[in-house]
This record gives sequence, C-alpha cells and structure tokens, in this order.
Amino acid sequence: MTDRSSFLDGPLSLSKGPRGWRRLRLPRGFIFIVPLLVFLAVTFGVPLVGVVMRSLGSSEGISLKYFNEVIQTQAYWKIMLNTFRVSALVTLMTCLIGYPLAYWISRLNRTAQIIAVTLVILPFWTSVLVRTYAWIIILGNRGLVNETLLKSGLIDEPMSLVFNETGVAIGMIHVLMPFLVLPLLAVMIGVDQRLVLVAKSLGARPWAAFWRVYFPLTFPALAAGAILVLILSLGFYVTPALLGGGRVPMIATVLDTLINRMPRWEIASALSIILLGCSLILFALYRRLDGVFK
Amino acid sequence: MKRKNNSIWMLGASAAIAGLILTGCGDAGTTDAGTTDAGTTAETEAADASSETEAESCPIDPSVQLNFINAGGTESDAIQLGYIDPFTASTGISVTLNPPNDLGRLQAEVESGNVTVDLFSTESTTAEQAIGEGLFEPLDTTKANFAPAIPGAISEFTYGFQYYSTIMSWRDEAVQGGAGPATWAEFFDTEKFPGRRGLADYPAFTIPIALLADGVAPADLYPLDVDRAFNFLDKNKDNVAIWWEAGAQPPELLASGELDYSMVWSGRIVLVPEDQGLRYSFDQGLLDLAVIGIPKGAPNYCEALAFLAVVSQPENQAAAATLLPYTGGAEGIDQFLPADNLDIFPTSEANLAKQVLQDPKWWFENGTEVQKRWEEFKLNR
Repeated sequence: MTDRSSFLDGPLSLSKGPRGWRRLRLPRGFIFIVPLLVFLAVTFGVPLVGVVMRSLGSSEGISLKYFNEVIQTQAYWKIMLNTFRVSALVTLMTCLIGYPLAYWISRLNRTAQIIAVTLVILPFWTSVLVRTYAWIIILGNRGLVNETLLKSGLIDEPMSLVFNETGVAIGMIHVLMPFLVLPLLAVMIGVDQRLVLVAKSLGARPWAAFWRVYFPLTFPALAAGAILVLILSLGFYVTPALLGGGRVPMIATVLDTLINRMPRWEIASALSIILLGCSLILFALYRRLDGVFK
Repeated sequence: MKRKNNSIWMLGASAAIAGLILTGCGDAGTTDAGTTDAGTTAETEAADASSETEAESCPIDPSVQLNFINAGGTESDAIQLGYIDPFTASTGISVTLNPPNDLGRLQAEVESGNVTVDLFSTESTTAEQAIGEGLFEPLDTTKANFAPAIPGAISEFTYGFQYYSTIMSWRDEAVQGGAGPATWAEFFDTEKFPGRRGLADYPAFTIPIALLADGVAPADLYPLDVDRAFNFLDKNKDNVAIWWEAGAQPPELLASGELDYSMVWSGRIVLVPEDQGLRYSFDQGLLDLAVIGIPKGAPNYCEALAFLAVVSQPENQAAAATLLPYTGGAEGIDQFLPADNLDIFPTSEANLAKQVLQDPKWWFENGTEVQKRWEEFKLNR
C-alpha cells in the first residue's frame, strides 16, 4: 500500500499533469464502490438535501426565519449547550477510563488480550435497548448495586444512580468505550517499548518516562478517539431518553418532540442542520488531528 | 498481485457493506394482527344489517387490508380482541396494527400524497390539532351501521373509543397501609406523603394537574393559567424523581420501587393484581377521550368506516375493556360491563362525578407555545 495517510490527499488525489493541469486520480477498484456511493447518495444524500430545503422554507421562498426561531428560542439553544456539556463530560470520563484500560490491555499476553478485547467489543453485539434496560436493572433502587451496598451496610438508603444524569453518563460511557479503546489499543501495541526503556536508562523516573515519552506517542490516537466519541455522543437518543427519567434533555430528544409529537418539521430541520454543522466542524478537527500527527 | 487482491477485496467489502445497510434498514415489521380469512363470502354482515342503499353507497371490498396506526402495547391487545376479531370475522377484511401513533406519522402520510394508512387513533388534544391541520376525513356516519352514541362521542371527524382518565396512584408500602393522597395538592405534599413522585412528561396532562394541585377549582380550570402551573412545577420539581413517557411505565416503576407516587392512566393500573401493593384513586382525575379518525386521502374509506361502525357497538367496547378498562362512546354500554366492578371505568357514575374534563380546543390553540415552555422547563429539571 502506498503512503496514503489522509483521505483528502489519498485516494482522490490531485496530481499535476505534464502541462501543469490538475488531474483527478482515482484509486484502483474505485469502480466497485460506485454502486454503494449511488445507493448512499439516493438514500442518504437526497433526504439530507430535503431537510436543508425544508429548513430554508422552500415552499414559501428561501428565508432564514426558522433558523432565527431556533436561535431565539432559549429552550433549544440551552438544550444544545446542555447536550454539549453532557457529551463533553462523557468524553472526558471515557478518556479517563479508556486510556488506562487500553494501556493495561496492551501489556497483556496474546490470549488475555483477545479475551479483554472481546469484552470491550461485547456492547456492540447486544441491542442498544437491551443494554439500556440492563442498566436500569443494575442501577435501579432495588437493583444489583444498591441491594449489595444496602446489605453490606455501606449505605442507608438506595443511591439514585439511574433516571438522572449519572445513569445517562454511565450508559453512554459503556456504549462509547469501544470507540476509544480500540484505536488507542492499536496505537499502543504499535509503540516501541524500547523507547520507554531508553528513557529510563537515561535516568528518567517511571512517571517521567511515561509522561514525556509514551504519552505523546499515544496522544494523537487519544485525541482523535476523543473527538469521535464526542461527535457520537452528541446524537445519542435512546440512552438519555430511557435512562434520564425525563430529566436529561438532549438535542435528539428535542428533535423527537419536534418531529413526532408537535410536529414542526421546519424547526426540526433547522435544528438538525445546526447540529450537523457542529458535527462537521468537529469532524474536520478530527481529520486534521488524525492527519497532522501521522 | 497486490492490485488484484485490492480489487477483489474492495468488491467484497462494498458488497458486504451494501448488504449490511440493506438488512439494517429493514424495519422491524408491523405486528400482523391476524389475517384469518373468514371465508369467501363477498357480502358482509354489516352490509346485511344496514339498508341496501347504504351498502350500495359505500361498498366493502373484502380483499383489502386496513392499516391502523395506534398507540401500541396493551391498547393494541384490546383493539385486537374487541374490534379487529369481530370485524375480520364478519367482513373477512384483516386489519394491521401499526404503532406508535405520533402525529408526525400522520402528517408524513398525508403530506406525501400517497396515504397508506386507513385509521389513526390518538387522544383528543392531538386529534384537535390534526383536525385543525386538515389531516382527517369527515366521517359520514350514515354510510355504515353505527350504534347510537352518547353526546360528544362522535364528532365531524372522529369517533371517541376510549374514555380514559389520568389519576394518581401510589405504593401501599409508601403510605404504610394508610390512606393515600385524596387530592393533587396532597399528592405533592412531601410532609404528609414523603417519597419519590412520578409525573407524565406530557404538558397536556401535567399542566392541568399542577393547577389543580395549586388550588384552582375544577370549574375554573380552563382557560389554563400556564404561568401559575409552571411556577408550581418549578417549586415542586425536586420532588419528582421520574418524568415518564410510556403508559406502561408507572405501574412498573411503582412496583419496582423506583417511585412511591405517580400519575398514571387509569386503565394501566386498575387491572394490576392486589398483591402488587399498588393503590389508586379517581379523585380529581383528568378525564379525556381518545378518538379514531380516518386520514385524509385514506385508500379504503368505506372499509375503515365499516370498522368504526364495529368499534361503535357496545358489546365490542365491553370486550375491549376486559383488557384495557376504558369504555367507548356507545350508548347503554353499562349493561355489558361487569356490574360488580364498574368503578374501574372512568365513566362509571361515581367516577364521573369526581373528575375534571380535558379541553382539547384550548390545547389546539395554545399547544405549540406551551410545548416550547415545557422544553425549557425540562432543562431545569
């Protein structure tokens, strides 16, 4: 494989031809992806254009009045900020838990690694509803955690672990963990352990060796994984809806009300476009980080 | 060599991805509500019972399949038992139930110009909004054999098939076997009744109840003083542990100990066995009517009308009520209901006296504004 690091100057590269023209060079086998691209364009692209048109008030002429309404309605704006806040919190917690976890897995022997990675990927293989309801059973007032703590006498009355933001955070971290751990793990396994040994042999203490040699080598993967987790958690619907007890409004639950219950599709479209814009900015940042550090 | 491998890999990968997307995109499928063909009879009993002119003006085609968007869950079971089974038995037409009944779905159907839905059920406030937006066909009750209905049950566009009530319920353990709250004010009284409360995440129910709890007399309830309701909810929101969205949640949450007191829809709680320790009261309950309408441009108007005629029969409503205890708009239904247990129904005489009636027209006019304020209120919960 050639050295194609970033998508933008990889498969679809612009090359200067003999007369200085720019020629689009498609990768070999591109023809096989065309059916899929057409399918995606029809099933995903066309409705997306429809959403954009609806948000601009296509039937009455182009206007920004729906975007205006979204920005001026305090509720939507605040819920957007709340969504970012919860997502940032979840991302932070996922990194704090995921990084040591990935580090630990990278140091295991091969068999144990396979088992550990399977356990990390396990959430992918269960339905999101089953996962979420399982959390209610585990974290509920008469659930596993509370019953154990009550019986052992550590607490007097059940802790409120679900149907609030705590429960939502736990559920989201559980679902998003693989997205951070797996790429991080791949990088960590690839890090040359001798570099750390060399640092230590040059007199660095273990913590300094880690912080100044190992961590910078894994930081790009961590940053890229963190932004991926952030983007994904912005759009979470099922977990906050079921585990939040109605008290964790995220942008997706608001969109549910706007699309299904009220319904006000123009506002929903405007809100969706704003959310899409934010996600695209974050994604651009993700690609930039991914590309810069490679 | 490397290039050949690449091409084959890409082809395989794109095929696999396309396959995954296609299977993933397959929806869960609608519940097939029984397609027993009741024989090859071309004539229907409904047509037999009505006069010949009626049958001619609205012909029934036994080969069609009706698509009914409803709330799902226990309501689907009740509709199946009480209405779909007799309808299919008498006409041979099968009816597919298609939850959930979000208004957005109805709007999508009608707006697309290619309506595939024949029947849509919802509660009165949403129905009022649907009527206002021209999403329902007018019901021509002369074209099918409707049973006589109590006043207010049949409107120009809808047939009222469920008188349901939003009432308070609690766990016996929470009040240690004593008396539960008698009014909504007591429901929110944390000194007299300590514990976790659950409220519906629907302003249409929670706003009137907040006003009743704040001391507004039932007769003065509408037009709603929204500011006063939100003030009350702001003061009391810390006592609310869960804002539920699905009707099946409150009995489950009460039974599992997540909640001690909760708003609930009466039909969900009155049939729960005694030993689960759940109590309820119809005092100050909020009475409302759930209705069925025919979407504008529905493909099988006459068959849908015939179905509504079956829904209007009191004995069918009584059968449906055995699973979900709500009576419909049929006149003289009491003789079909179990006489010893009439008080599980919101429309029994004793219960009617205690309850407050919902006003769908007010909600049609003010619903959007209230919903916006509700969203903002949600942020601070």
